[in-house]
Amino acid sequence: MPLFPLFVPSVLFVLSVLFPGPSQAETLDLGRAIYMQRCFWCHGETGHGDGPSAVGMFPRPRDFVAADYKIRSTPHGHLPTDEDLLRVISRGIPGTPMPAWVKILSQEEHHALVAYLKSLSPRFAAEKPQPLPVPDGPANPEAGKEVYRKARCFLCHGEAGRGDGELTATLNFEWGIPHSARDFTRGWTFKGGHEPHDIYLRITGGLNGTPMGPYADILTDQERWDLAHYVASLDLEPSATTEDFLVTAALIEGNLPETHDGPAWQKARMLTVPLAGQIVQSPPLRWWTPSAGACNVRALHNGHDIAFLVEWDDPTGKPEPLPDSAFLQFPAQEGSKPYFLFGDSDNPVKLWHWQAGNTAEEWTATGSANTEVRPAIFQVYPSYKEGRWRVLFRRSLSGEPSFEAGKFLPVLFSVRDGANGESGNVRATSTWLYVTVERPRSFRPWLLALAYMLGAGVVELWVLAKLKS
Amino acid sequence: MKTLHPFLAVMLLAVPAPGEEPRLYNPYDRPKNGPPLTNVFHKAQPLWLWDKLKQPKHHPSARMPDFKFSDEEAMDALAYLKSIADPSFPKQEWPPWTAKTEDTMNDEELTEMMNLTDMGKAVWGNARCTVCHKANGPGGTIIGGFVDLRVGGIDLQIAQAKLERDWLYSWVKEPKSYFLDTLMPRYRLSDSEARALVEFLLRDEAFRPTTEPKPEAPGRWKALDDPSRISRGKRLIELSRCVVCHDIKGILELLSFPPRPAPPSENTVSWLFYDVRCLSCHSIEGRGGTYAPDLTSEGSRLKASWIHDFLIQPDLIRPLSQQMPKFNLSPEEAKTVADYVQQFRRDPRVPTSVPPGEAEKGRALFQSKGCVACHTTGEGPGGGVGPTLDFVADRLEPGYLFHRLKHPHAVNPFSAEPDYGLSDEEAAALSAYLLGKKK
Repeated sequence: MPLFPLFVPSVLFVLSVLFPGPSQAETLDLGRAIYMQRCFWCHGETGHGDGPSAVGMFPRPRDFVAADYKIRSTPHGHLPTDEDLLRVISRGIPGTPMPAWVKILSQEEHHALVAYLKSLSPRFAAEKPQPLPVPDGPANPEAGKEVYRKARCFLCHGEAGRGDGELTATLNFEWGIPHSARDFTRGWTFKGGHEPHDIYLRITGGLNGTPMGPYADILTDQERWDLAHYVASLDLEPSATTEDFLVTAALIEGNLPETHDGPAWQKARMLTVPLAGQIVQSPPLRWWTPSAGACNVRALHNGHDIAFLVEWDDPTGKPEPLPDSAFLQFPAQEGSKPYFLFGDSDNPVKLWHWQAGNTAEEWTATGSANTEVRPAIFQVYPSYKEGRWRVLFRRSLSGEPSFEAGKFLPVLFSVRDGANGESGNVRATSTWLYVTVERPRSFRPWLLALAYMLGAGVVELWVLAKLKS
Repeated sequence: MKTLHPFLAVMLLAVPAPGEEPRLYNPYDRPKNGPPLTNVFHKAQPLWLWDKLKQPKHHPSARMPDFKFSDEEAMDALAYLKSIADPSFPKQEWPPWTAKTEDTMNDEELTEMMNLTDMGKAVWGNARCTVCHKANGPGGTIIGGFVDLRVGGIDLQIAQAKLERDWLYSWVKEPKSYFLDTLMPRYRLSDSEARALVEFLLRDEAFRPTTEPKPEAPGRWKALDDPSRISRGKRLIELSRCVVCHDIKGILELLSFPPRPAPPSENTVSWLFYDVRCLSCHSIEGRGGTYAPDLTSEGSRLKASWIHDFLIQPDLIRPLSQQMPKFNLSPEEAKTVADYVQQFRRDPRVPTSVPPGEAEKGRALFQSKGCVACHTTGEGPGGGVGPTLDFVADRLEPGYLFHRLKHPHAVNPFSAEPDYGLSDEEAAALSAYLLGKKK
């Protein structure tokens, strides 16, 4: 027994001599082979981020020779740890062309690739990156909101965190210099993850090579921890609702609201509807970079009228060079589900079109090129505040199309950001969803149930009486 | 709508192998659009700087966002900028009268001042400053991103309310010594020319505020020397990310730029393009400015001898259109550029020779087609819309002339010149006629 503690290490030693793991050279060779198969297309043969596919790519692929890594758990200007690199390879970078390799490469291949990437810059041999400690104590998002103001985060990220700050608006949208700030309401686009832990590291160490500098010396650990929780709290987290495709107009008593706030809207469930660029039809342009990534939709009705409240983020809200606009699309014929881009020749669609400057029109379309414009029979109430459009569409329940309880009517949402050069078919669009209206409260189901119960009782008594007799 | 950031564009200026096309400096490929702020206190007056920080949008072509600084914050930022100004910034010796107003000068000083400003006005005209800068009164074009010295109503934007004398002298002499990436060319002004231009800019009413600035509280700017203000200002400048557009001493650099290439060796064509900033206005293969003609295939169009003479003494070509400034190039420098254009800036579609034609028939065609409506030929009256053809044979390559007559819109699809569908014979006749137009 006393010899046992020595036994395990010695066996391991013997095993390691008999079956040695891959040598450093073999690991590098494996890493290089994977790199030349998978990575060089974007990151280039020499790792300078200048591969054949890198042309026009934004953001640009990482230059492994300069080794200016953005997503790190280390201080500003430092190299990333192996774990940082492994994590990025494994999960990819959302919102960029960098895919997640977790299901394609094995763990061993991940490690080999990291070893190879590190061999591309001499800095890795000389420096030993150390991860920053992350607090695990309680945090106060309310205090974080004050830090957000104090540290002037709003200059780039906007007052409400929608990436629409004065600096971003001027540099990116006015002058075309691509320094865009993260929209905090879209947590799924955070390059390094949207957990408070991840956000804390980004705030503390900054993102190398971008205007997002380090706040390690500017804010205390607790301030940064509070701020990280505040930022995380802005995330709208659509992941739970992306598959939810039913807009239910909640029933309320009395008049429908004409404003975008107010208690009535609390009754309606908010749906986050993902939007994507229109990339099917060109000319004029397949549109890969719409500025809206999602819109939020709520609907109400009062038995006579129906109201849709559509909200989406737009960093500028300016009417230049083109006005912003939005529309709701419905099938023009009962029971049809037309082609989602303005319908088709057999299946026309009706569009409720709104354009900033208070244009409201009703369109009937049988394809993108065939649109007939009529005056609107619906009302629109738009507002723009803190980087967000809120547009309320209101119409009678009856009409073309009509909204009825128990009926599921296809509906589609689309928005255009004029400042981003969007107009016509250059736009962000959803797929078809459905809309239905909440059934008015009535005693009929109860009466029916009662009648059935009574009927069943009568039948039962009759059967019993028959059996007795 | 995303464009490639200028600093991502390659800025190579390496010396090419013999016979290889030289890489030319494009001033738009610069890492930061804003001027450096380290010595901005030597350049501009505190009141102007304060106004710029408080109301950047005063300036219609300003790129600067509105930071919504409070009065105190603007003072803090100014305090830091003042603290980093280099005390050894070059100063000039100025005659004592330059500090006086015109009312207090004696006759001798007044004459000296008038002579100098007159000379300065000539420098201003020859350098075609109005291509980029505005002055009070009629005239003056402005190209996006260039500095407007006169903006309607905002008197603080005017040179005399903004600029410091010593800075202005060093700027007109050696713009790159202050702002390495400026779009402004170096004009090779002599010391006296630079002094005359400075005097003109600081005296002429074209650059004078039209309203008297409000009197400032005495000692207002003393507060800038407060050390706590300086450290608050530094933090504010850091948090406001001023370094995204400006170089500022002592502030952490956040963006990573490719290392700046060494300037090209002197007297090469690369160096001349770097020094004179030709691509601020001209473009070559899509790189450069849009104000002046594209040079991509000028070698097929223009005679080298004409390019050479034009660079030394730019004359009017289109009386109603913009004119090129005089850059004071030496004959050797002009030859270097002309040789480069002749060798590398060619269009393979343009023929190098022209078929024989009858000049007399050409003259008749010139009249019958109504060419005189837009062009002068030195024979009687003519129009000013098209370039003057008085000495066209000295300017254009014969092959180009023929090609252009045949296909007026092949070279420039937006040309106002009508396409008459001339036959080879007609075009050859017209060419023969025009090729007789020599000095």
